[in-house]
Amino acid sequence: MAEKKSNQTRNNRSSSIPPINNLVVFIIMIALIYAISQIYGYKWLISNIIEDNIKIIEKHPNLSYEKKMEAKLGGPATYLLHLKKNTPKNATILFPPDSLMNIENAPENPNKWLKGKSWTSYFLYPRRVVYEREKGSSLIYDSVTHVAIMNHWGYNKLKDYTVTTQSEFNVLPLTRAQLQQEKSTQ
Amino acid sequence: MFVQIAFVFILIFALGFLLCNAIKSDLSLDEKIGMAYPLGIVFLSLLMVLMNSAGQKFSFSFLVLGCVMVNSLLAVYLLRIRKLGISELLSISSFRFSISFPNLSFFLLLSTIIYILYGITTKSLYWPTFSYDGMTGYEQMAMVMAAEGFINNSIFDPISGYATLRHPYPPFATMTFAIPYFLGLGTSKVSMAIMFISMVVYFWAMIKKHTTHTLALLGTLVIVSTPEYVAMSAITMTNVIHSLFVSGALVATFVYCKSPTQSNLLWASLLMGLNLWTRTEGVVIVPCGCLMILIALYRMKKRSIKDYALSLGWYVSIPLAFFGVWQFFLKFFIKNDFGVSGGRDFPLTLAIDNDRIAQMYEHISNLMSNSVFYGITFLLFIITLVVNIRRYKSQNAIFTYGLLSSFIIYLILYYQMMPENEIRLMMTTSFRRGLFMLVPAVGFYIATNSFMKQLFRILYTPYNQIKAKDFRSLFISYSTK
Repeated sequence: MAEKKSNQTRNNRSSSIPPINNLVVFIIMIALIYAISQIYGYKWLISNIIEDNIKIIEKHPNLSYEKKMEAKLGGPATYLLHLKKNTPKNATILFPPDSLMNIENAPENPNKWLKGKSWTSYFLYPRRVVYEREKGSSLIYDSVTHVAIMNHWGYNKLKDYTVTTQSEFNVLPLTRAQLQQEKSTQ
Repeated sequence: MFVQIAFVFILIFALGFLLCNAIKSDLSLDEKIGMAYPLGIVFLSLLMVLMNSAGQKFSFSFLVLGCVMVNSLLAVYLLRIRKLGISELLSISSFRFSISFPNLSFFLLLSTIIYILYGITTKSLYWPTFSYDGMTGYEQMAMVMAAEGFINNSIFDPISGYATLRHPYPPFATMTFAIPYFLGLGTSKVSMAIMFISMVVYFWAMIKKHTTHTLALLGTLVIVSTPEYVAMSAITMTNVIHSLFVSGALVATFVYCKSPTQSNLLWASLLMGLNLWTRTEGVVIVPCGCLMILIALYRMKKRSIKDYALSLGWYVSIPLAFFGVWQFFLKFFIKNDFGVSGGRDFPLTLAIDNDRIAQMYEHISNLMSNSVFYGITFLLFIITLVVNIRRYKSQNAIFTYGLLSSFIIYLILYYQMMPENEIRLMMTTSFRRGLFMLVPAVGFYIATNSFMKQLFRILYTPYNQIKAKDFRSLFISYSTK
């Protein structure tokens, strides 16, 4: 009851704001919002987070998922999406030793994150990922079906065939039979 | 495709809306709108835990079927058994929106909030998930959960698995992110955007109940303009979602302290429980809610142990149930023991370590002075706290005690748990983001404290009617005048 009464009083009061007060509070509010928007954190929010993104969105409204990931995470994302596109869902992919897992000119963090299975698995799921460093310790190392070629590493892992034109980054099936099978299904 | 997706989101919304009515029909319409989507997700996450516990896969069909069935049952229950009319379901009777036209400040604040919400939602919907924590945790879990239909999925497989500490989080946030994947979308962002807008509507509604519309918008603006808090709402993280239940629970507990009815107690306890259904660390907020209730009961001159035991017993029962269910699930249904043993130990003995205190102080000072993180939100909180200092005995001060104790206990949690070599890392990452859970509660306090209410009363009083005592009453409560 008391709450109702206070609401009514409040509503009555708000419905009878004197015009001069209305204007003065409005000017104070504008001044406050302007002053606060000049503080670095709020500037960052408005220009970096909101305005810059709106500009990008207006400029590239139909950017593909791959391009967006590349824009945010650079070469490592492009490479992992390439692996996903070129391997079957049931593949087990072998990744190089940590020292060779580096994409030149890529942002520092994504390059570092390539070494972590949970990050690479996000892109490649439901494919399984195993790292060269896990040799001897991982139970799925022996069931590898594909090799992730990075910085020319991995060609020597192919079992019964060789590749004449060896590109720096690629993904290849472990055996010739798989290679032929995948070529025929493409 | 679009129609199908929209239909499922409407089903989830309707489910939550009816649940709001079943649990607390006297919520206002905007509170129900704000809480509808989150409660729909809560139901689905509980259903998935239940089905997985019985060895059943949770799929898109079950999602739709579950929503349709429960919506029908709830509609029958509310309309036939509880005999609620449409006007009660929609809270039309309690809906009163009388704002004088043109209240210029109201429209200025509203348009600023809408601008920020538009900007952040557009950003959120445009970019896929690219945050490390999301990709190696919550988003990944959501993706695999939807693909396999199990919470105990291949991520936890000891042979090929790659579980991290972020995977076995309680299922509310993960289910929020998983809904779009169940619908065949490639990213969780649409659900996160709906969740954030729902949160803003709920905060606005909750603040509006305790102050004027203009001040409520000011409080909402404080929340939605806290720089990193808003920025984080556009990426797949759990902290912003967590703030809905932590701050919501603190406010609901405060409402119970002011008006100790059974339905207010149930709502406060439920929100406190959902805090634990989102992030387990939220357990530290439960004692703060208990403290608020203890103070309120003491001030009401309740002297019987039974009164205290009943209120507190009911209050902690739902949080304990949610906590227990999740711990039970982790222990018995996750394929390896990662989820349970992966956590950090909490030393029960509190030892004074000056070096650690100094390091924490330095990091907190840096966080507060760098406006990118919280803007001036916490600074405003401190200022309003100081100007209200003489009102420490008022009923509204109970909320202040709840909020302050939450800060303190959260600090103690980190003080106790951080390994020596990880202080810097944890203070600048998880602690920094963890404080987001209190941002909406701070916005609520800033907009509803007596100083601000009185200040706005003066600002809107005809100038020839303002008296000196009006200014004095800015700093002292009416009862002590």
